[in-house]
Amino acid sequence: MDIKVIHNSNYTLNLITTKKFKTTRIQVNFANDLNIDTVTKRSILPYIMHSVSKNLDSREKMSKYLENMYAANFNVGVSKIGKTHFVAFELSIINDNFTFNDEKLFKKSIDFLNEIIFNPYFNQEIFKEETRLLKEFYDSVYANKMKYAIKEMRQIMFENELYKIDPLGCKDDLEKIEFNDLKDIYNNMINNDLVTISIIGDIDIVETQKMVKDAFIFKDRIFKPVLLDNETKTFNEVTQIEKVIDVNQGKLVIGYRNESMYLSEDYYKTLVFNVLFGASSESMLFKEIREEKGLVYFINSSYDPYKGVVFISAGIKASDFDNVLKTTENIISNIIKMDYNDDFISTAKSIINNRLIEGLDSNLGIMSRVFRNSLFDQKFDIEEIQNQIFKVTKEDISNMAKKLKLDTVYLLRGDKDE
Amino acid sequence: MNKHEFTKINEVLYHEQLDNGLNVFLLPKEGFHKSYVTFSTKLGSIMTKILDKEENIIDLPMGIAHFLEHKLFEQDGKDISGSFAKNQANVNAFTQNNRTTYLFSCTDKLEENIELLLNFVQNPLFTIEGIEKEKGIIASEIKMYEDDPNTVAYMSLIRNMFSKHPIRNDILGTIKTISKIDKSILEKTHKTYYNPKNMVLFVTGNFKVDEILDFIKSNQENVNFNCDSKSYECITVENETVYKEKDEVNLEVNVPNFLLGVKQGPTDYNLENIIKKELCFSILLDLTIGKSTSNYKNLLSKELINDSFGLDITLEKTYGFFLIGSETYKPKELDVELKKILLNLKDEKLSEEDFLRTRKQIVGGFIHALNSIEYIANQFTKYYYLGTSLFDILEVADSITMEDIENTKNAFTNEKAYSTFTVYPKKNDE
Repeated sequence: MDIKVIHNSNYTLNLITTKKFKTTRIQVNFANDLNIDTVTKRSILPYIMHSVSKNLDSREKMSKYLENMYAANFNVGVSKIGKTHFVAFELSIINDNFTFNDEKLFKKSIDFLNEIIFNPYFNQEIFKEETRLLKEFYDSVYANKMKYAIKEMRQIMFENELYKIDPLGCKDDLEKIEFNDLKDIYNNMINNDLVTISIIGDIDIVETQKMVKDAFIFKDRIFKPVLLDNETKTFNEVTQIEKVIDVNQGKLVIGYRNESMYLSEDYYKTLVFNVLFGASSESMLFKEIREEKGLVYFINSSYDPYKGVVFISAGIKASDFDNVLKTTENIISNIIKMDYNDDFISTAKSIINNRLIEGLDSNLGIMSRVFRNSLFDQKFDIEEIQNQIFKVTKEDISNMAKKLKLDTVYLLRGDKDE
Repeated sequence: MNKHEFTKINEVLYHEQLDNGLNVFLLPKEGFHKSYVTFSTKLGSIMTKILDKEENIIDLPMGIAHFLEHKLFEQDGKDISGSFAKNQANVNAFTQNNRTTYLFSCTDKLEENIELLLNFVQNPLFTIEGIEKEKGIIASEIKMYEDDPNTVAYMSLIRNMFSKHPIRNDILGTIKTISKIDKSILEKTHKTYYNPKNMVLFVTGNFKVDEILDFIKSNQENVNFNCDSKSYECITVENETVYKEKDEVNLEVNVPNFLLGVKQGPTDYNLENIIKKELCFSILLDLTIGKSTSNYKNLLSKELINDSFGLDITLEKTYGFFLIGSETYKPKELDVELKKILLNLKDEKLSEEDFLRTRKQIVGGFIHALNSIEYIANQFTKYYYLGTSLFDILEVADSITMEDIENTKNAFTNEKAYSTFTVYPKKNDE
């Protein structure tokens, strides 16, 4: 595998050559400030651009075109890292040698993305349809009670912070978007966003570079994304919220602040802490609360290093609430006191290592890592990460547990729970 | 050892049946860091009985296959997954209607991990205490699914399509049925259904074929299951008339969830060329209701479907059905429109150009899927148990004609085979 990162004055190009996969993946990524005024408009925009373009001006034409490209997977999506909002266009195609007559699918797919990005077709009908689809998507989150609980909890924990913004936007703002807003938001994205183009597959570097240069004519730009969100609040009391609806299983979400940021001194220590604490089925939360006490089917922790927060989520019986909370506190206190078997540490490190290496067998995994590296100006260096993980000690993990500050406890529960 | 080369897709598969009956498949993947191994048996939720040595039929408690899957991980009170984690492996398992699969992926120590897998699946060490604790964990899993509208709609629809086939059973069982599970029935079920003759081991990733095969052989040399009871295959077959044609429930959702099922009759359970049948159905549905069709466009512009719209084809040995569904604020109108489309399929003219395009779609979809070693192992095993090979897909696709697709239309003509289920929001009457 060979990785080449080229910083141009108008876009960054990440080229990854490998013969390992039967497909080639291309991603064009736009980045700008995460902002409540623009986030929902920036969310609907790519879905409209995904539906039609000037030369493929109906959904049927668009679908047929992609089907003819051997069922090319064309997806758009939005996400956030820190205080930055991302809009991504992604295409995956099979390698030319698997086509019937050695068709030039790769060249065709670069041209296709050019058409999508530079020849959008804004029309009322598609705008109305995509608005409905996004609205129904927001509405449907309620059907998944864990997702819903996590979403609600974040609205409370980050009430006055940027972090509260969902990268997909929100329903109230969606209803306010007018058809005429689309052009502005599009022009702003095309002319001002940080653009990153990433390609992974069995490609020729020189040829691809030229193809991309000819197809993607962007103006020069200077945009520095803010990738870490340090915003926090001072508080003395834990916020406790309980919401009752008609469900069979309660959903518990706990939020901590730890202010351990990506690539800071504490980053790798927190990664190990998190896996040992709750982010695997070998973690202390899982072992103690599921396997020892039989209280849950699932419980896990997650860590957002771009914000410095840790969350726990679990499906519980509401009557076990105190027990689960108490056990969680005990686990944290044992980690701080270093009162546990060292096996937990070696296992956590082995799990992280395994996940790192497994990521190298997925073209999406590699591309995402190379993309993130290019944002943070980091080298692709798996060994360095392995070294950093290896160095983490029991004391380090104890110190990371000490940094946890309990902020919010949210319980969504049924009304007839015993 | 048999070697099969699939030059069109650049894959080579090795197969050997060991002396104890275990079927071993090896698919080396050069350049991969990860290996992925599945170990599967034909015990699923539709296996509900055992034949004892006097040929008496013994009923198994509903949910036993899934319970057994959970409990095999406990080796004398200790969870085996920790041993995998230490070996840079991640172990898991799942239970389906027709089989149970144990699996791991690893980036190191492949042989040691294979040994761990074979040993824990073949040598249960249940404890009474562990069995009782598991009942609480599975009860929590059951409650989780009771809150999931997709699962509720899916299971309810299946129960409405089938009146007696064990496909009606919840894979997890119910809190009542799992309470009856004890050590002796777990041991008996294990002995009967985990005989190596019933099992398939699939190894894929970066390894030397001879070394791994020798290793597996020596591990299995003395493994023989002597058992007086026998597995009892379900032979319940129903005709295509559904048990109940329409049903609904109110749950905590905002958007109603609509699901339509079309049940298949006994003649369609014939396993000959099951891949061809699946592909024919998939092509037909693509041509009539796929994303590039006018039907799809109409459903979208009438606001009857959204991005959750999906199709599913299930063809198994003793049952089969198609599902079409979407979250929708207009479930009643969607019901009418979908039935109109499917019942009128017979008169729909299919175009040759569209048909040729579906061939490209099959190639593209399959090549994409082959990037995933998980897909290869799981799908290969599924088709192996159905008596066919995953790697034949492209050849089979080549052989399909317009006439085959025309004939497939017959599967949708009988209105008695249709059943619908809708999840509505709770009424706010308080």
